[in-house]
Amino acid sequence: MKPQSENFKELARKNLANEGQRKILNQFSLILKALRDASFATLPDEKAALEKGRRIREDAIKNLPYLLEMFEKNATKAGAKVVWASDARQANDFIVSLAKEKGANLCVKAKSMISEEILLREEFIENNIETYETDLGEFIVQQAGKTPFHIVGPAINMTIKEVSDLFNKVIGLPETEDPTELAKGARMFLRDKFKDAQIGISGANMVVAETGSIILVENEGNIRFATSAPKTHVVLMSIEKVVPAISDATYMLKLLTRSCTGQRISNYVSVITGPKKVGEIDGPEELYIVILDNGRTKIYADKVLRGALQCIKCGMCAAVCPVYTHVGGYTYGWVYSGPIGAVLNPLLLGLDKARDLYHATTLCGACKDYCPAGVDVRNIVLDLRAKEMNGDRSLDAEAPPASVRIFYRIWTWVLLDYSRYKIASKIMRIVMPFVIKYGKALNLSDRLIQWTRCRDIPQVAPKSFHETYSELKK
Amino acid sequence: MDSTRNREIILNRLKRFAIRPEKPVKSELVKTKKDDTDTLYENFAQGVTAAGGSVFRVKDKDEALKTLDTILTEAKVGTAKVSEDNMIRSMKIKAYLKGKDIKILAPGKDRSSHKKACFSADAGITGTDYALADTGTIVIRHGKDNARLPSLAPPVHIAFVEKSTLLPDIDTLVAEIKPSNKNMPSAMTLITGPSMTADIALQPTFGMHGPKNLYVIFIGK
Repeated sequence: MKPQSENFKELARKNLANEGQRKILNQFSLILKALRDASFATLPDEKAALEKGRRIREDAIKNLPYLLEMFEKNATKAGAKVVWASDARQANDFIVSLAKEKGANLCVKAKSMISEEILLREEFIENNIETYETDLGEFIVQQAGKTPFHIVGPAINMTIKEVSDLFNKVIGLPETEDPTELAKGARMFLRDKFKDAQIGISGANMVVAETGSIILVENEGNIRFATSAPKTHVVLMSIEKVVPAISDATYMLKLLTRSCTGQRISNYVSVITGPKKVGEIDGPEELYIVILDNGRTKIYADKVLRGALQCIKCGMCAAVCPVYTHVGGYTYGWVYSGPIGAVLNPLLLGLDKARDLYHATTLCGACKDYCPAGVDVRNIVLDLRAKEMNGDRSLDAEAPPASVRIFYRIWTWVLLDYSRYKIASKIMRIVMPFVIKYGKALNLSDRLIQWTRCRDIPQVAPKSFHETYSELKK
Repeated sequence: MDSTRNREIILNRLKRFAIRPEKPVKSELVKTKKDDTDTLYENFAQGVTAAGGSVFRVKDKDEALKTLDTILTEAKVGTAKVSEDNMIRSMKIKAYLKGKDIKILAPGKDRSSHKKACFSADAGITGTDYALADTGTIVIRHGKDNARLPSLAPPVHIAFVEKSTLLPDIDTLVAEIKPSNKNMPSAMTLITGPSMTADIALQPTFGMHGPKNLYVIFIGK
């Protein structure tokens, strides 16, 4: 999908006005949170479990290159071909030319956020390789020409009627109000594709250094098909997906499925180690693993920002976010939505292309409380704002105008020292009535007027607390 | 694209800010205290049922075959794809079903005939390697005699579980496999209930792409 994160405000306004969508968002988040809480209650100690999840992901990120090397070694030993790509262009070119080399004209895709990020499906279709998303939600999204609304529930915003109309149009299914019939329609349509496709593409929920295994989590069975039926299986993964050992993966799995959908385990978990072995009648003859950077090594260089790489894409943060549950997934303007999108989109697209995303937060921290991987979105948001103020070039930050920067520099200078603060508040007490009326700033810079558009600046009290205190002490 | 060069660049960039793992990378092998089989079985059965599957507990292989027969009749199965794994072979299922009203599809000679059979069968009948009580999960290690599609492509999946392979949970499974590059099969699948989706308006629907019905026949009292 082409990034639209620059238009956050406009998209937010549009989506906030969509009453039907807001109702769905409301229900969706309540149901998901209840399911999640119930499933976490089956763990002996929820807090300890989240803490262990954080530690596993934090350590994995700390040791990232060494784990990647080990994963590569073991995956190669198992017969997989590991390929490294620096950016979207390279990954797309490699996978497309591989498909052509194999003479593929039909491709089945399992859901993968990273492939949305690099527009792999579009690239395949442009190269005349018939390509289908096979996860029901993603299939709907693809056929509707839309983009995923939520990391886990891509089409969760669409009503049964909308899906029925769509399926009637694109696969000729008679109109129906029964979701089971709709699912069946998609099943019948995609079954032949699974059987005939020469190439299957999947992402990876986790990969394991210890064994060189790929772990894939799903409920539908489409991932199992895409990774067993075609002759060639391509795994597209970003560099941060690795965990040290199988036991780490199974631990994260417990947290992942609980946070995703409130399931104690998903209906299917596939652990894939290399292509099929000699004598096996199904499974891919060749397994390619494309390890893609696409801007992540840059994020890794920063101690605070790299926390975003701990994310395991469960989508829980969105369901508990007061911003997401109002504006919805489209407003984030790109692949990732919700709190993690508010930091990942700017980091991957450039701060100047998604600056509103990390400003439009309440800093309530619910995302962190619920995160099974210990991502501290609030802290990263604050860091991005600071980096923007300093005009950090490496992240394509656009520094605010000099007037604003000078204003904040003075502001900081004043606040860092009590005597300066005391003098300043005395001055403000005299000046403020002239520039503020009914809590709104008058005749100040545009930036400040924008700030007070939805906030009031309180008047400085006639007497400060300290003044009153010392008077009373006498 | 120069993969080797990309590899160098990516790893070198990361290594400037990374630290080496402190301890050797190895799975933590936890053996959960094993409850008595009846408690484990109850949990297992509850898990399978909660996920939308059905479980039948039988005392021995003969009874298992009879149960299989009943399921096949009730599910109106005309053709079945039977896995070639040890459990299935030791039960002589093919011999048992011979002469009954069910067509057993021959083992595929090659990839495409195997695929065709799996996609056309009404039911897939397979053994299992482990079962996990905690979640109601069955585990299949795929291999030469244990193909991937029979448990996936047909709309009905019937799986046999032997009592001795019932483990408390996934942690015990990890301990049991003793993970290493060598010990891992090309694919291992953990199955909990039939195929499912809730992608349309959060309404749960079974049989999305994989089986709509999962029957587990648990052998051993």
